[in-house]
Parts: sequence; structure tokens; C-alpha cells
Amino acid sequence: MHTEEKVATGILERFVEMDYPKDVSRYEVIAIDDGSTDATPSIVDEYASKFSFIKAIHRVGNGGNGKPEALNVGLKVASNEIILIFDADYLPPRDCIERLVAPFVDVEVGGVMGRVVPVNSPESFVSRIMDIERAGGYQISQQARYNLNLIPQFGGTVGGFRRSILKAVGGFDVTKLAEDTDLTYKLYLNGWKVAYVNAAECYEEAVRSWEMREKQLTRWAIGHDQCLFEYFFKTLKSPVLTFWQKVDGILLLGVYTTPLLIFIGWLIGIFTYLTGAPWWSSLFPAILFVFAYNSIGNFAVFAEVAGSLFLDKRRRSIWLLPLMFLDLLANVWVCSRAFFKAIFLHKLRPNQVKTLFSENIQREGDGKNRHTKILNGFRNNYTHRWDKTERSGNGLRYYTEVATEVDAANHMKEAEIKRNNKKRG
Amino acid sequence: MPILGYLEVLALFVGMIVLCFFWGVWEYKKPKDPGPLFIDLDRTIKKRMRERECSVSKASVCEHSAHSRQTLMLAESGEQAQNSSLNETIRVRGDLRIPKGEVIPYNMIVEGNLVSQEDVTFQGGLHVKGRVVIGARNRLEKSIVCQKELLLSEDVIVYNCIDCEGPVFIKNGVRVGVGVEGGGIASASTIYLENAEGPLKIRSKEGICIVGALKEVITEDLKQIIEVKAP
Repeated sequence: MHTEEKVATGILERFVEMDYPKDVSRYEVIAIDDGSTDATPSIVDEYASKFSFIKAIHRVGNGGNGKPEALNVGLKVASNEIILIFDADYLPPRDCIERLVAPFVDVEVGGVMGRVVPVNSPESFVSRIMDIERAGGYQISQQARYNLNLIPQFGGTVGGFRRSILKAVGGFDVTKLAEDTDLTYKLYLNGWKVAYVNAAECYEEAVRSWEMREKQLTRWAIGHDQCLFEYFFKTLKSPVLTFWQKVDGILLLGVYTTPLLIFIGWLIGIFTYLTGAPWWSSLFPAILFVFAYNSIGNFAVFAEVAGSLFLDKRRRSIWLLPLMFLDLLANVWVCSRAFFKAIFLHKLRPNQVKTLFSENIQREGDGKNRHTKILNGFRNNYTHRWDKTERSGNGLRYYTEVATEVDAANHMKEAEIKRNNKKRG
Repeated sequence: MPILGYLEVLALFVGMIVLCFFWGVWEYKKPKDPGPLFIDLDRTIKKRMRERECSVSKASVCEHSAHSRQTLMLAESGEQAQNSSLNETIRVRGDLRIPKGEVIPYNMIVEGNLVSQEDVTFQGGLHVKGRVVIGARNRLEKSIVCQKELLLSEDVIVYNCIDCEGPVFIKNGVRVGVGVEGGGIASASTIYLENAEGPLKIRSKEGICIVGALKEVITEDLKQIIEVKAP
């Protein structure tokens, strides 16, 4: 947790409520305060003093250098074999831990990954797009990879791994911006598997502005590209991966370089449209075909999102699909730029690298439990009928129950006035 | 005129693009499903497992007993009344012998034979796929579903009901259905009583037999189980 006072209470409270034996030898929560400058340390300490299974770790003087470093600190003090990771802005349901540890019964499973669901999707256009994009990425992409015995990715949060494996590979690589992808490949290249558990759903707070999205995407893209440079040939040569795992592994490594290919494809398309096909284009028909495919074929992600929304019974959200094109444009630009940044990463200044490491989501508003406030805010501001949604509800239903009595009383009064007006009308 | 044609094509093109984005903008501006996707943050695995356990025992009752309907209804109401405090089911593969005086706070599914010694308390339901020997003065706070022979020793108390595929052997002082919504004993075979004492509600497909001593009628398989010494 790096300066997370607005959400720290939320996640710690979830761990207290978790439906898992609170025996200290089996369940310990290690809350890492990564050099916070706000009230996070005192919140963490308060919980650690109340509950014996919560440990508070404070990184003093050397915090804020990124998640991999903080995780390595946590790894040193963790005493159990299965380690699960949650970011500070996450809200896991009570059965999340049981679901995530279950796949470790299989001795081949070295890591596990759950499903991430944005909690603040109604907050802005970007967060809504992130919501449906995440649905496709987890519900379809990760699940298909797992079902087909390919390479489902450990996503760095709402997931876990065996401590002994991570110790054996030297902990998290602090030079990588995508330590999760790095660990995924370390696991697979050493003969382990990652299990994906779609039912282990967990709320997260998604980015809500294009600036934040750009920063997040840049970090992910550079991190992925770092892994591409390191693991491309290792994956191809691996004696433990199957043929299709190698194919999927290479495609997964290249997922953030594809936007660059799309960009080049578009440029070539515009060039040939304006000037006519140059004589040399006939020499490289295959390349043109690849670029043309990339210009169109990558719309597969839209089908993926539509499929996941259908499965989630949120069919009305499918209407938003065309608007995802804006996100595609942003992806193309940001990931293309990030590719070159990744190549020259070692030439970046230390403060630039540190900026990339820390995402620093700017959380507006005050109060310690931001999620509850966000959701209560939506409840009051939105005028549409929640009970008309396909799944007849959403996160709000849960939070409505815990709303204050004053809110509930006001709500009842409003409803009564409306009923009376209707009768008179 | 050609310019007009160009404009028409252009208008059509622009119109199609607008049409493409129109629905998205509509849903964004007037959302019917703005999310987030509902996750029940209070859900637990144990609760669902308990529900599944209930359905498993009901299914087995339906499958294995010709007299199950009445018993099922009795068992159902009884289990629902008491399950609120019980939230774990354990499944045992192989034979199980429960030592004297033990308290078992789980629902149990035993995929072998079950023998309990004296003064054992079962707070959950029992579903045994093999043979069952319930020791003297045992207390079963829910029901027993058994797929082979069942022996109830002296002074056993069963709060709800018993549904058995095979023969049932009942010794002196056994009481069944003492709970508020308790039921009786149903068997697809014969029920043997050591004497006719006790207010027992009994239904048996092959009849009820009152004997002087159960030793005379107990099957060899059941005798073997009883004779095995506890470790």
C-alpha cells in the first residue's frame, strides 16, 4: 500500500470478514505499507493490533519504489507456502481465498489467478470501457487459455503462487515493470502451470481518466515488452512447453507490440491509398497481408468482449462496443510509443523509471472507505432503475444494505411521496 | 450533378458511422446496465456446500428408498430448522470408527462402513454408503441415510428420521423422531426390533419383525464390523 488511506480500511475489513480459518498458522495477512505519506501506516497498525493474523510491515525511507520491491519484502516475512496477492483498492468476497487456494491441490499448479471486476464502472466513460474490456480479458481470454491448456497469465493481483517456487527463482525481478508476466513465464519455463479461477471474482478500482489510462498502459506495455525481449527465444526453445503453449506464449508476449503492427499497417494503408501500390510492394505481399490482417483481424477483441458480456448477462453493455474503438486508438498510440521506450529503457533517467513504476491513481473525495462512498454516490445520483438490469442488480445491491439508516429513511420517504403522487395523478 | 452524387455517398458513409456509434452513446448517456457486475461479497463456499449436502441426501433418499416421499418431507423440514448452526460437511473415503464420547460437529458422508462407540454425539446428518453400527447412548441431532444394514444400539436417540436401503436392527430404548419436526424410520427391507417398546413410527417394505435377541438375526457382514476391535 502506497498512500492508500482512502481504500486501506476497505480491503483490511474484507480480510477480517474472510471465510477462512483464522488460525495464525494457516492464515496470515501481511499488509505492506510501502512508504506511505498519509494515514495508511496508522490504519494498518490499528488492524494489526486488533487481529493476531494481520501483520503490518512498514517500509520506512525506502518505500514507493514499486510493487516488486514491496512484494519481495513481504515474501521474506511470509511463513506459509501459498501466497496470495491483493492490491490495496481491491474488495474480495468472503470465499475468494478458498477459491484461490483450491487449485494448489494439483501438484503441477505453481500459480493461480482470479477474475478482476471494476467496482467503479459507472464513474466515468473510461472506467466503463475498462469494465467491459476486463470482462473480455478474464471471462473469455484467460478462461479459454486455461481450458485449452495454454498459458493463462498470472496478473499480479487476485492471484497467488507457491512461495518455494518464487524463492527458487530469486523472488520478483525488481527491474521489470510487469513482474506478474515475468513470474508467469518463470513458472511455465520451469514446468509449472497457472490455474485460472473465474469464480474467484474480486472488485477493483479501475482508472477513470485517459491520463491515468495512458500511464497504466505505458507501464504494462513496457513491462510486457521487457518480457518479450527476455523470454521470446527461451519460450521457443523450451523443452517443457508444448507446441501450442509455445505459440500462445509468443502471442501473449507480443500482445502489446501488436498495436505497433496495427499502426504500421494503417500507415501503409494510407500510403498505398494515396500513392497507389509501389512497385516494391509486390516483393513483400506476405508482409502486406500481415499488416492488413492486423488492421482488421485484431477486432477479434471486440468479439471477445461481446461474448463475455453475454455470459455475464449484461447484454445491454454490448451497445458500448463501438465506443471501444476509442480505446483501441489510445492503445495503438500508447503501446507503439511504449515499445520504443522499452527498447531504450536503460537510457531513461531514474526518476522517469520510478514514475513508470508507481501508478499513483489519484483518488478524489475524502473519507477512509472510498468504495462505499462511490457506490452510495451512484445510488443517489443515478435515476435509472437498477432492478431492470439483466442480472437485476450489481454491486449497489450489496452496498444498499449497508447504507446508513438515514439514507434508508430518506429513500423510503421519497418512494412514498412518489407513490402518493402517482395515485393522485 | 456528380457533386450531388459524391455528397450522397459521403452522407451515407457519415450516417453509417454515426449509426454505429449511436447505440453506444445512448447506452452511455442513459445507462440501463452501468455496472458494476454484481458480486455477492458475503457469499461463502461452506454455505453452498451445505445446501449441496442437503440436496445430496435428498437425492439419495429418492433414489434408494421406495418409501422415501414421506420421510423426505420430514427430513427436509428437520434439517432446514437446524442447519443454521452447522456449516461444514466432511466426506470420508473408507471405513470410519468413531471413539467413545466424541462430538462430531459436521455433516458426514461416509463412503464405507461407519461404527460409532458409546456416547457419541453427531450434530450433523449422516449419509453412509456402507453399513452402520451406532453405539449405545449415541445422540444424532439430524437424520441418517444408510444404503446397507443399520444397527442402532441401546438408548440411541435420533432427532429426525432414518432412511435405510437395507435391514434395520433396533435395540432396546431407541427413540427416533424426538425433534420438534421429527419423523420415523423407513426401510426398503425388513426392520427388526428387539422388543416392541418405544413410540416408533415405522414403515418397512418387507415387514417388521419383533425378535427376542437381535444376535439371532444380525447378518454376518454386520457381525464382522462389530467384532473389529478399536485401535
